[in-house]
Amino acid sequence: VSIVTGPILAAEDEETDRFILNLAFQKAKLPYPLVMVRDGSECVDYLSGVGDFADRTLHPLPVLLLLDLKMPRMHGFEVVEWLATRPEFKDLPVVVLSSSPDESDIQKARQLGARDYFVKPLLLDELVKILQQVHKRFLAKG
Amino acid sequence: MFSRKTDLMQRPAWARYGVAVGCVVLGWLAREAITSAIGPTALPFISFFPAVAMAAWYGGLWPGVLAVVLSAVGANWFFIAPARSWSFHTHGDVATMFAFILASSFIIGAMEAMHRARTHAVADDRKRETAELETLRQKELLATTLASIGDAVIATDTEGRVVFLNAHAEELTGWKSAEAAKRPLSEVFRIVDEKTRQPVENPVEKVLRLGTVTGLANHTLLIAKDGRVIPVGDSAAPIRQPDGPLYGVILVFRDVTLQRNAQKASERLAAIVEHSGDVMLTKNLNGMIQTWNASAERLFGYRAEEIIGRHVTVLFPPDRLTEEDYIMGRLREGRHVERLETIRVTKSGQRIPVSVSVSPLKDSDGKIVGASKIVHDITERRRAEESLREAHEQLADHAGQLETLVQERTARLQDVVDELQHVSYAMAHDMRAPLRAMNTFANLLAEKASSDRIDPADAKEYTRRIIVAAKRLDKLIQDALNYTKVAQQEIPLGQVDLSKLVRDLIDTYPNFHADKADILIVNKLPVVSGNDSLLTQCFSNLLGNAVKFVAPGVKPKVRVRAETGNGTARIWIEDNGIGIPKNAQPRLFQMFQKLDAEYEGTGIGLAIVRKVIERMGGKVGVESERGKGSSFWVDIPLARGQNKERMTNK
Repeated sequence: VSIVTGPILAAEDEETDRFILNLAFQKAKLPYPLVMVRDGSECVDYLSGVGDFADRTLHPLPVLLLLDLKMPRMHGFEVVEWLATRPEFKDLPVVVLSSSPDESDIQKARQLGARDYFVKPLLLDELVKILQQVHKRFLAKG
Repeated sequence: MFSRKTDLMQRPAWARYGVAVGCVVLGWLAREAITSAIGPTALPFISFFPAVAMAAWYGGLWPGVLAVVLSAVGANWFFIAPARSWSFHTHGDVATMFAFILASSFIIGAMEAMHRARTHAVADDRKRETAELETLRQKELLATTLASIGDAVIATDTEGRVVFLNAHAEELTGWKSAEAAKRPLSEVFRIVDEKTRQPVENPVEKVLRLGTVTGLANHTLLIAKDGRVIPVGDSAAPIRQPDGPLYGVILVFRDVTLQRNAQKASERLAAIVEHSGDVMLTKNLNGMIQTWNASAERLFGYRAEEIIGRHVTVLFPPDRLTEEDYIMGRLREGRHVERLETIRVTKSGQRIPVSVSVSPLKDSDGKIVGASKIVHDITERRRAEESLREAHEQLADHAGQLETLVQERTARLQDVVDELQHVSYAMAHDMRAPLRAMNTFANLLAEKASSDRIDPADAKEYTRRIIVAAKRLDKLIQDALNYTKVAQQEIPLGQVDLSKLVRDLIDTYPNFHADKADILIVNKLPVVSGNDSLLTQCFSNLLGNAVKFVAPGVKPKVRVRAETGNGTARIWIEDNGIGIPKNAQPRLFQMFQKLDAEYEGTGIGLAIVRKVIERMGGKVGVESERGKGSSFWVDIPLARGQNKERMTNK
């Protein structure tokens, strides 16, 4: 698998969740690398290519954003709002992966421009299925 | 009658004198006629005596004298010799002439006497006739008067027997004058006492007995012939000849039914007014009190005899005297004053609230002669209104208190609901994370164990993660319970010396000791009103954050200082930590908000701080910038007596 496209970017503050997401990603065998950032603020930095992320060869623009909502320093919603102000990201699919099953959070995410919304599942296999579904829907060619 | 008694003087003079001349001529012709028989000069006056007598009878004295003169002249000329001359032949002729004149004078005298007598008789007759006529007239007048008089009249003789009844008397007694005549008055005029129904003394008898004018007793009833009973008022008077004896009694009476009814009606009205429960009085146009009823006496304390005739303004308080002008103005326009609510003053000087209604009083011609006033004592009503108003106010107060209470309870309930939401949010988000981890790693272990392809390092790692997640879950549950406790429990307030509290904290926790952190209390912290254990938790959290969130390798430096004023202490806790980005500050004090994934914690410490301080009536806040340290502040009400002496502390 050659790196001809950008990675899938995941913003997740919980170390455990990042570990689990990594496991699930390996199990799903998606043809994309997974890059993780630890909160909303870091996510914006990555996308903007500032600071540690200035080098686009090391940190290429992602093809999809997996976004947690409740994160320190910058909330997932703030990230989506920020994206809406950036025309260059209008084609970047944003998929929310949150602990919150709140209907209000789901509504708000969609309203702000998230393409899909998944509640973090208890089982690893289910998370694998979610990742495959997301890939199929937003990334699979043809 | 008049023809017989014709007065001589009523004949015209010319007739009387003409007749005298005619008689003399007839006398002359008669003498001439007998001349052939007795000779021309014999008995010259023989026919003139009747002529003179005739003239005197018809014409009176002076025509008689004229006839004598003419007769004497004529007889001398024609019949005394020598004829046709005035001279006398003999003394006998002269004597004859003298005798004629003398005799004629007697005749005239007799006639005159006769005439005078007759004239007197005529005058007497006329006088008598006039007197009779006058009497007759007076009789008719009296009869007509009696008959047509508005009162009933009965005349009796001295025996008390009825002589005459006029039309009204006939009508009232039921007796006709003719049939009543000669009957005893007591039979025709039956009167009894109105109350006792016993016969009362006949007024005529009383007059006859006393000989003076007498009146009927009041309340006398006449019983008519047909049994009708009529209230009457009367008087009886004796009839006397001028200076003479009594010859009858005249009884005058009248039907007083209408008068009695009017009197009764007026008495009834008077009684109604007098005994009315309402205060009633009347005044004339000068404002002088004219009538005053019993209720007026009760209300104002003046008796009728002491107030009647005094000006109505004696009842007015000095500050309301102008009301009388207003009232009189309305009255003069013929208008009423209705329910004027004002103040009046009693005899004892007490001011009483009253409602006054005034109406013009008019006489029978419709002229306004005064006013009637009805006064209501509205003290009770005023009191009732006052009570009602107070009740309304109390009700409004209670409603207001209730409203406040409801608002407070609602706010409290809202707080509880908010806390519940926070907790449930925490369940959904933060507590599910460790659960998810435990579940995932337990499953991985199970999977690998069953396939016998388990790497001991992996197994160790998964197990470690399960234990960490379980600990974290336990910590979250503890914190959530702690927060709920802080949010819900009663907080007894007392005086808390913050200086001592902070020093004790520093002594107690190793992380705050001088080898780990430099914590400086800049000035003396005040005594505040709060809860000791909650404030301890609060400052423990704040100081804990201050020493925790520092860049790696940096020794925490914390300054604690106090500002006081306006009854409040503001405690600043300033650190040299990593700072908080502006966009994160609004969420800072919310539950389960972690600012930095690198630092351990559940994100509940500041939520507890905010909850504690707010429940003690204070506020929390932060001034910070990323990388430049944070300055947290809490406002806490000063303990009583701490305000002024600490004002200057900075």
